[in-house]
Amino acid sequence: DRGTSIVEKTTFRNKEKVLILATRGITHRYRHLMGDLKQILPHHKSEPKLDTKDDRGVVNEVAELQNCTSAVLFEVRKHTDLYMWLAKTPAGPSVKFHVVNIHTMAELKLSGNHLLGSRPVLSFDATFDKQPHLQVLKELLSQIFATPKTHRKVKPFFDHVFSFSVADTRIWFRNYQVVLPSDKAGKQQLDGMTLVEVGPRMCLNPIRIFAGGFGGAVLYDNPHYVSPNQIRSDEKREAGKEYKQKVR
Amino acid sequence: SGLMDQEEREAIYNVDGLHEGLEQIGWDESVIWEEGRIITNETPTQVSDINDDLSRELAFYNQALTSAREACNLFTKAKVPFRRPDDYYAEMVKSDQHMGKVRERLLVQQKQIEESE
Repeated sequence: DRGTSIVEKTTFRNKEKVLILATRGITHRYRHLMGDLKQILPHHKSEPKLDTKDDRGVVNEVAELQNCTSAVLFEVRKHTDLYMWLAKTPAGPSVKFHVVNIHTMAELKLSGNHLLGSRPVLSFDATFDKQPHLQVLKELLSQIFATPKTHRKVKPFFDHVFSFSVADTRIWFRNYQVVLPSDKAGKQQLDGMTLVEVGPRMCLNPIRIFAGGFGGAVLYDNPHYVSPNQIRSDEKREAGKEYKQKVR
Repeated sequence: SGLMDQEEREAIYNVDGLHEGLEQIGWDESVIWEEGRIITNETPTQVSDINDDLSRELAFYNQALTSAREACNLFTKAKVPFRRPDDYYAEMVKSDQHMGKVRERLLVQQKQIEESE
């Protein structure tokens, strides 16, 4: 009825819960990345490895059973290539990314740190608002990476930023600690703000956007995407050419 | 045949479908900023050479810094407390043991720089 809809509209609360899981066959490095995501998304729920590689629609059901509204699925092929699905469950839309340039939080060169469970600010490159497919990706990333204010694991204070940039037709993710220096009186100075990278790092190459959760009509197919299999076979062919020339 | 598939693959760009999808899930205008803490910068992030680590990372850093500053202004305006007091201790994403290793590595690097000078 009308009365409640008005109330709902003015009191909208972000109550997203994100299911994070992997298909069987995930390698240790990618499992570390998944662990990092679980740490920085306190509003996630875990599930044991998914047994099937073909019927991803099952994830929609698992998410529903866990009261989740979205899901992140890690899918590893040939023990080398990582694909990551982001989906609003069960109705979609969803996206499949090929993930490259991964650095996990365990790497010592990323020297930042932040509270476990503090809520991030999400920084988006202006480019996201320029094209329809990027707008959809921004909405998916926002809803999955923003931590609900009222979640029970949330700690107060702002001490880190997730940034999403578009470059080379891909999306680059970074996580920075926010450092505010204190003056002599112990008051923190906004002007002297610096950032220190915490990690993880990843570069997401969108392959396709689907209308549903984990499938359905294809809304976007990236013309710039070249599969890692293709790249490997091209490289092999090139290497072969060189050899043939040497034999002659 | 892999190459053939690539050439024959037609790019799909269903603008109406994408808009519909966005409408279906998009948070409406009434969402107060504090619920999502999402900042979209005014100027696009420009990376001159994607293979040059330094310039690429600097571009990302500057984007994040601009947003973080903007966020602090919004927190201040809305009177949302956001500064972590120096005496507030709680569990961090990286353990003390891990941070010890990070510090050790930094010290070793510093020493190497000093020795080479």
